[in-house]
Amino acid sequence: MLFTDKIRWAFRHSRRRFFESLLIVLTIGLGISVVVAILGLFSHVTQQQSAWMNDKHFRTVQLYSADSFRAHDGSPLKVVPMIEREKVDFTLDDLAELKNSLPEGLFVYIQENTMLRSKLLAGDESEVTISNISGSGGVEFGGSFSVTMQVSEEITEVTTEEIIEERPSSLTSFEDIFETHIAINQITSDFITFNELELESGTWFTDKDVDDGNKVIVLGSKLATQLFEDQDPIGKVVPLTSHTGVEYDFIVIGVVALIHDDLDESFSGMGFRSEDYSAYVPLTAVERSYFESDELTFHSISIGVSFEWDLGKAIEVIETEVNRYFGGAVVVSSSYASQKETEQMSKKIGLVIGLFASVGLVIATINILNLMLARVLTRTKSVGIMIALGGNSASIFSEFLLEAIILGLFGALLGIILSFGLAKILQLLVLISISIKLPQLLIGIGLGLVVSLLFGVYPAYQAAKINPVDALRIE
Amino acid sequence: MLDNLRFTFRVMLRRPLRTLLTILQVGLGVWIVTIILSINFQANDRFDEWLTSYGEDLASIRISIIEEFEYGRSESIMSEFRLDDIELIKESSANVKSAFIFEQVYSADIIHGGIRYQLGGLGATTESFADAMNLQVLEGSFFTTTDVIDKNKVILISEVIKEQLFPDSSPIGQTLAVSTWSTDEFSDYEIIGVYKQVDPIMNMLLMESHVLIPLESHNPYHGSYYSEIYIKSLPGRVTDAVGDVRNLFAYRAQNDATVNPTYMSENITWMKESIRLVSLFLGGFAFIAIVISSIGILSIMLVSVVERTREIGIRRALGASKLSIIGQVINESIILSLIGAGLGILAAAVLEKYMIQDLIVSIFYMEILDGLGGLHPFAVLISLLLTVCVGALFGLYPAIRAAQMSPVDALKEGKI
Repeated sequence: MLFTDKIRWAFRHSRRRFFESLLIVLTIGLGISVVVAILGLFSHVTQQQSAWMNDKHFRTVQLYSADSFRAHDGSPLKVVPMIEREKVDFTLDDLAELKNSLPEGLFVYIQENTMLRSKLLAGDESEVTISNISGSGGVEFGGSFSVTMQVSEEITEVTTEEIIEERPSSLTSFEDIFETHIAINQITSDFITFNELELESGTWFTDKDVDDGNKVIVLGSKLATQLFEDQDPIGKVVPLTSHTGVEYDFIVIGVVALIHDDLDESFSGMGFRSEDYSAYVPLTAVERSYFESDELTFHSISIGVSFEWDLGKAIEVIETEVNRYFGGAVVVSSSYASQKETEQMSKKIGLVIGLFASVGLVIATINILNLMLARVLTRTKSVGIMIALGGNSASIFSEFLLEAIILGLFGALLGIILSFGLAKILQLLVLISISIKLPQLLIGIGLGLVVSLLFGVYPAYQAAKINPVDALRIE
Repeated sequence: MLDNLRFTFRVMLRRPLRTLLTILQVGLGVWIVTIILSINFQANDRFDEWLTSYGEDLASIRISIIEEFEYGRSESIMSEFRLDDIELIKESSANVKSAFIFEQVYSADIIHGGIRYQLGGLGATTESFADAMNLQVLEGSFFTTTDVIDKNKVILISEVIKEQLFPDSSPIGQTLAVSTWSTDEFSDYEIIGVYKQVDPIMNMLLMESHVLIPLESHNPYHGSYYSEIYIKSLPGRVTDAVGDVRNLFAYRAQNDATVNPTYMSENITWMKESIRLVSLFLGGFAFIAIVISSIGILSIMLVSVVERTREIGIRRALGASKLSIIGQVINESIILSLIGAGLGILAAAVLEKYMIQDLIVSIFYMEILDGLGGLHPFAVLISLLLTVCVGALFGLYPAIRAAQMSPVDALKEGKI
């Protein structure tokens, strides 16, 4: 018998029991649609997660002085070793030393952030300085963020105690600060290399600029436009006023290429300003006015781990080196452990959701097994006649298997159509997005094939081993 | 009736594999439905319990500037409240039962027996806290108004801390050296009570405070100004109470600032909503699983009716009514479903510890639901009802088809 004939045969049998076949197709279709939709969801989530994990921010390791560093793990009571530890203040020498001793691909830098008021933005000489900003808050589902702020109107050299005692007299909102202040990143050169910051025009400052504390500034793309509009900003002067009221003139030497061209708003995400509105200056540019470079100390050193390194391995290398150099007085802090935990967590979630999602498909497979067995039973007599007339058991076997496969394939097709509908419903109801693409569709069809093949085999085998004598005897 | 049952069982046993597979089908469907419903019901029960015991009459007030952005909102909170304001609130509003200030100190150390410990958290608060939060004091007593005003160095510790530091003896009257913000300046506090760690949901407010001290007894961090005041209203009058307090402090909100409340019940409603979404999501799977297994029953009953055409014909010829044929088929369908349901519920009961507690609870970041477990009776009941309905409904069509067969044709067909 030709293969096409076999297929026609299988179709005829399915048609004869149209309603029953329809039900089989429907069950498989429903089962597969859920699995395909969930696979779509998984692929969407994994994509987002890997994008998140590959963010430079999560590949940065911080070094802190061990005496003040407290990891808060939420346990009610934790023994603190009572050893008196010396406070470590990091110097530029430490930075240079670590840079030399750590292998390629690990970028050692110091970064400090500050908000400095600029006359160019404020547009007047009104004398408001921020004396203390204490931030607290977290990002929640709805995307709210809160920060406590105290602002004083006097320009005095306030000490920390004075700030605490001081009564807040007025409040300036986020927007007010962003309108008058520039977010300044005080950095060393490895920060630029690690973050692969491209320039739109001009040049970056050099290691020598950092050592000498030269007052040069590289502007974010949108900040440059905001400050100088159409003019070429290179060579222009940006006046910045420090917390203590001292004014410095910084010379623009470069403009960073646009980072977020999709964010037109001046505020990104949770009310923070996008990087395109910030500026970069040599780490020591402000402080060098008062101190020699070897007197400057910093409270942390950052190490950026490039993508050629496995993060876990890199942290081991860094820890060994840091312990050798600082002798246990410095801790290495990273989000690696919590990242791993998150990863594990999402695997677990995937497992449970996958389990729940596949229950439908399992039920559908049991159904196809059940119904195919019933079909074999009803056709016992006709199979008996076929064998008696010289049909071999292999052709009987393949005939039943083919029937199952055809049903399975139709089921898979239906499943794929339904899965798109399901994705839409889930999107509307539970607000999650699902991306169903070719791989998921192929898996869906594959599943239909596998399921029908696997569970068509046993009934087909039953049919093939029918004894013609017994079968014909049945009245 | 008994004969009817026996007959049904005999029919089922005639095709043991088919019966088994059908039962398995239904069982799986029931299993998933029971588990998902259980989670949903239990979570809701728990939230309602919380709502009635803590949240309903609790709100907090702060003076802040709220700015809306395209992607979210930010709130700049001012520290505008003083300790005296508690009295002021109580005097000026008839709707307020009590008011308190609670300040969470994230990093605090204690010294006991020569060992220094880092605390999971320390709460500095005023005397009304215990009552407003239904805090259970197991030993000793909570601090009083005098303790707060005089800034007495007294301390209450949680059960957990007691277990670790004073496993055998009573801690009351003992001293603990406490330092806040992890400084090295310790001062001695006298232990005056032990309290039961509150339900984890109150972590929203209590965070992980394992000791409680009078508000200003340690170095005040924000001077003596606080950003938030909590009010507990008389039953059911929380909106009125909040309204009163907003009016009371309206004059302090300068520039763009406003007096803004947060109702505790909002948080719980929000959590309920997120549970509802998860249940809806998982419930979708359960629903589809049930639909598939219903179709399974429908198709297998159809097959079984067709197979038994001759048998049914004979019964009809011998005088069985259409109704009794329908009854017979539906009977079979319901019994199959019920056995499946029993199996599914049994499986759910056996696996629930693993399924509900370990997996579901921890994976959906709902640690607040810790300690949930067991099948919810409603979930079991609904699953059972659902199965009976499904069995009856999807047995109906095959049953009618069986009853409609004319006995003459049925006997003429004469196969099998």
